[in-house]
Amino acid sequence: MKRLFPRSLIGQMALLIGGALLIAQLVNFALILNERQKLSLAQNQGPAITRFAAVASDFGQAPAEFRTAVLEDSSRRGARFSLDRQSAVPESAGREGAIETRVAQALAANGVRAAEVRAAFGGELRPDPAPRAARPHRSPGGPVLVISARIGAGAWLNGRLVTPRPDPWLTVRLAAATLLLYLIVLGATLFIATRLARPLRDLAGAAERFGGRGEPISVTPRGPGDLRRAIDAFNAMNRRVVTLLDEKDRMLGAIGHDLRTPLASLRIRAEGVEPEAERTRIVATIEEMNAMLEDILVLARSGRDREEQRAVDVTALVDALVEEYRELGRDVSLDEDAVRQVLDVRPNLLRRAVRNLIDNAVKYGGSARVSVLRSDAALEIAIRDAGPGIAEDRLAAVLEPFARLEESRSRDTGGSGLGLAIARAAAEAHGGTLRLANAPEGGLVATLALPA
Amino acid sequence: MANEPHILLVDDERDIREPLAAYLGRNGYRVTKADNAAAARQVLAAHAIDLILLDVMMPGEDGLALTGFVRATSGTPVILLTARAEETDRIVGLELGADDYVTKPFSPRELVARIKAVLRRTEGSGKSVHAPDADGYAFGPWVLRTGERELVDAGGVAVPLSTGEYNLLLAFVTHPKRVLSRDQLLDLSQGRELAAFERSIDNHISRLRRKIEADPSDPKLIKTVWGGGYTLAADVRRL
Repeated sequence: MKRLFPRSLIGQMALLIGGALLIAQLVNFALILNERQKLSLAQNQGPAITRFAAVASDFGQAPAEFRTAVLEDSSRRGARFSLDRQSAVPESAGREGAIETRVAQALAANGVRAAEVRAAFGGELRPDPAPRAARPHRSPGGPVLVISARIGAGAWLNGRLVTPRPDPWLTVRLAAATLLLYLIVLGATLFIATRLARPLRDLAGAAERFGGRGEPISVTPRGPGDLRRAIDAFNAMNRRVVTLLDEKDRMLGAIGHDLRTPLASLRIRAEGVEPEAERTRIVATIEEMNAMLEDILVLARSGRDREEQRAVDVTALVDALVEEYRELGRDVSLDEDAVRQVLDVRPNLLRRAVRNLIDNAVKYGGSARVSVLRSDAALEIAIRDAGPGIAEDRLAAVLEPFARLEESRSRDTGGSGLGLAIARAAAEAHGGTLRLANAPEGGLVATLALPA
Repeated sequence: MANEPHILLVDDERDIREPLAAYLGRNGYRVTKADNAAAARQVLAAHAIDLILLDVMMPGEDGLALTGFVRATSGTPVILLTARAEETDRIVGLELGADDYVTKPFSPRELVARIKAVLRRTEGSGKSVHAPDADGYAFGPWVLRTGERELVDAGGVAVPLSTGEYNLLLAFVTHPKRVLSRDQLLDLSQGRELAAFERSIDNHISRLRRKIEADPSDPKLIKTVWGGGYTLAADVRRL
């Protein structure tokens, strides 16, 4: 049921307008049909009433001996007249008040005085008394209107008159007209809806693709005026955002350069500092500042780096990194079963992410066991340490920039606080994720999942 | 004192230029300073320079442009000083023919070590033999790309190498079909980078074979020469 209900604005609008229009049209149709049927009946009854009044007038004006002849003479072509002691219409049984009024008016107009008029539909027409009336009626089968007028004491002039059959095509014609109107309005609605939908879809697509890199995405303005204005505004905003991001990049580049130069100067001068213990500490501080500066610049630029994606053997990339740690004497190893896994990646960004994760594992857990595995939808690089892990409620928090577990700000354990944030940003730049979890057998597992 | 190597130091930052010149002077080098590319050209025209230390980011003509000029006109080796760590700078710098680079802030001791390494390589010839003298080397089904410092297979897939593996493979492709002893390999592969080979050459050879040989237990590319060392058995084409 949920699937049947459209989610989009345009779909909902079309459905709503279509539905409301359908209901309105049905009500309209019913009302018109009712009116037209009444009108049609009135038109159909007109001749019968006039004929009855004429016969009544002839009857009243004829000499007494000819009166029966008048009735007999009139009883043809779908009509029977008779003079009876009782009304052919019962006192109370489906009487047609409107017709009775019109009959009374017609009688009065013809100079016939009637004390009471009754009218009702029903009954059959008795066969024609005259043989010549055996020829078929012109309009057979229509409802028989029975009119009865009391024209004297205990004398009722009863007339049975066939009325034309109501137009059988009336309903069909009316339904066809209604349907045609419905289709025209619905077609116009759908036309407007699609005219709105296409530019809106373009706009949404451009907003989704917008990565802040390179040339700003421009959507061609089309559709109604206010939509064009929205698209123009989006394009302008896009350009402003790209300009701002470019400015940010330039500023970061300038900061990086301007801070590195005095750091480099300090680093050179530090070489002359005595005693050696002091020199070692100064050099360590300068290197820490430089590493933090580097991390900040990388994180600030993440998502906007201009590195191209290339097909890379990710296992070899991880293996080369692991090898560099081993050469430095760190306890880092790659799963022996790791096989060649080719993926389109940004190798430098990925290398930095994996390096940060291995750094953390070595720093907090003393060692790093790295594996590269392909699951159905992702290539997973998992780094497990032998440390104490992280409290479950802190797992998400440590991924945030500048998050630390220690209160200490010492470089030995604290770091810049950006390593995991950079690794996560790198994963997201590849459309992947970074997960942290405590392994059941102890230690923290960081899993970098890249969509395969 | 004429034996002192003569270094031209080009940097627009006085805070770098002065202390670095002083440090190099203390370490046995004769240093001439220049604060822009034009001044550097004048010095190059007037003196016999053994090595140029060149800042990349300078107002006006920058270090990369000057590297191109130096490479086009002489064989003087160049070490770039860069404040930008981005890989692209390194690639562009090395493609233009810089012999090495250091990222600011750098350790002055490491810089001196690199100066020594570059001078040792260029000694005698007086020419820069900046190690990757080609964009890449094709051998067997592989291409070793010097810009990105990686191995690319026939299908275009990049196979990243560790620094040690890259340097070792570079030694092989620049000396194809020559038997290289372990000492020669150590010397050749340590020339550019100071990454210490704590583990043996044999270990690196076996790692390389795992990456490039179709069957590492029956190597067809890097062959062992009994008693002599190793040799790259494939033809190498410079790209």
